[in-house]
Amino acid sequence: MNLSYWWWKILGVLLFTYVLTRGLLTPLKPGIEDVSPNRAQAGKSLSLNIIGYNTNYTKGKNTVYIKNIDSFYITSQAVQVIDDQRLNAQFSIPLFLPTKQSLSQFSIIVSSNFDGTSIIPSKLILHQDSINQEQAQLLWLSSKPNFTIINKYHFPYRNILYETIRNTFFHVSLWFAMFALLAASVFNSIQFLRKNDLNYDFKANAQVRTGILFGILGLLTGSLWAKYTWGSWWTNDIKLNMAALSMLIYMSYLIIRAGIEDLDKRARISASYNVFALVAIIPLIFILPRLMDSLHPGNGGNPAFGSEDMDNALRLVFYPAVISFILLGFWIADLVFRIQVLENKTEDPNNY
Amino acid sequence: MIRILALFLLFFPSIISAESTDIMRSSGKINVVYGVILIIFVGIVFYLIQLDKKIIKLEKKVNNV
Amino acid sequence: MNELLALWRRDLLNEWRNFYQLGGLLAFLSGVCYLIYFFGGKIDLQEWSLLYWLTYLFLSFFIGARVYEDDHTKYRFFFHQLVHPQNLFLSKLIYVFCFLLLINLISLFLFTLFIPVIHVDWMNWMILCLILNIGMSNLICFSSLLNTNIQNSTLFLTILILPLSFPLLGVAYSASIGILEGQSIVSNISKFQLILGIDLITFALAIVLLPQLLRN
Repeated sequence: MNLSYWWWKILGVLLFTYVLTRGLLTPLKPGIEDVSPNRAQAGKSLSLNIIGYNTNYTKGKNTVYIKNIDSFYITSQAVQVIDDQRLNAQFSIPLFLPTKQSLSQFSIIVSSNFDGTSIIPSKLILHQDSINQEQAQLLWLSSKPNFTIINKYHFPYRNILYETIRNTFFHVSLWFAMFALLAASVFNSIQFLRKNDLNYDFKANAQVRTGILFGILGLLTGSLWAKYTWGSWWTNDIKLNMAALSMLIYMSYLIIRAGIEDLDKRARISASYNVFALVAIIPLIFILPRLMDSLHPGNGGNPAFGSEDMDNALRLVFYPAVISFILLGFWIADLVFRIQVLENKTEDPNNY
Repeated sequence: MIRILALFLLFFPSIISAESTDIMRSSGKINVVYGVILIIFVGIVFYLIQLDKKIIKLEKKVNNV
Repeated sequence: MNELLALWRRDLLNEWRNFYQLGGLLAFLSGVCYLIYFFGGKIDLQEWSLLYWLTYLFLSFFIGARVYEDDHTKYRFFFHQLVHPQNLFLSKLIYVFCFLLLINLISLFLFTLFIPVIHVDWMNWMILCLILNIGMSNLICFSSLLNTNIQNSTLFLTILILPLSFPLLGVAYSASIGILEGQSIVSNISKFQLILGIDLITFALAIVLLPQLLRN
């Protein structure tokens, strides 16, 4: 076996296996799925029902806190464990809230010495009749309570996403791989224009084809993901539409190639169109969505990768996923390229 | 074969939305992840089948010469 | 420079001689405006500017189909001995630019005439059109050149221009809404910069790729 020929393909497959196992078997961090009731009156007692996700409430000692934005806390008086996923916490809420408004939002925190700490932000709305901030600051804890932090290896818990956070490894990597392929194809197109060697043109074409495949798969998987998180198969989200448009641009690349008979002419024209197309796509996908609102991370005020959406546990799988998809993509493109070269040889009897 | 697959892919969304909306939402939407992996797998296999067909054509040509 | 001017004048003259085509374009434009007036009823800012840019896009297809038509079929051999293809391209570029600007002006006039709901700041609008037309004329000429090399059909040209022009038109659309809402140019400066950036890149690309395309 020729190792220099096979190593990157093997690497791709190994990384992909790693991504599949690590990405599917790692559990989610325990989190809070829902809290009821989510409205209450200051100065009265409150009985909160908490539904957890992936939690083991029976195995640990649990404490529940109510927290506001300025980090004032109150602690639960009694916590009753119903089962692994359900808790009931009793609070007596002070008469005054540490805010200037009569209505304000509070987060619920559950701290367990088995699961660690989980939070559901801005879920509870408290109402106060009279406002007295100074009094309130005495009634609420101003120091951070001792939360138990347990460092297990698990993916972050997000409320609407749940397990679909694992799709980042598959859906997002598809787009990364598509871009790598398209960029490589533009490189090959430029090489063709410089050196006039038809092999570069075949390479560029193969990479564009595989890039389109990945793009279409990216659209399909994104559509499925969107259905169960954003609520519909297709939204008016700018990034979605721009991605569909860039697919259209590359479709016309294929149409151009189908329309020209002469090999050399076809190569020249499609190479120059390819360069043009990538330049048109860069503002479509990278710049325009940043100017407008988008549901995707990294656009229109949403946090980008690297700050909040990606934590270290995700990164440990995400980067290998990107690399493995890129390697697999180049592998497929390489096969397409070699088939085209053979096709070209068999069509022209002089090359035998 | 390819046409059947294409038809399946075309109606794939309506099939799951009609029958198994609740399945997709149950147990933390894990089935959405499986669905995504399935789409990628089917898509790539689909592409490989087409490549294979091209190779069959080439082989026939080469053998006939 | 002289050559460029001469070529440009030739294009203009050509247009003048085929005045019925221009007339057809104008008739089409006024027909569209009247249709919108007749069926559209009262429309809001977004729809207004969407319709404006759509008409603009369709008219640009008409122009694109004709830019290289004669030069590539009738006079091709004789032409490339006389002038440098790059100069020919540049002259076409300037010609299309002027033509698009004319279309912009006329359609703006007709649109405000038929659908006078909206107050348009002519100055800002023209600046937007100026910047946009650099990129659009570039795209149209380049696609037209590609098209004459392939099949020379209008359908093909549409397939080429439509996706490529989308980023430009998209930004222009969102900037135009800002202008219609009465914002100053300064508040939309990032969009204008984006359009200018695309202009520059497409122009540079077209010039670089041109010799490759014409090599035979």
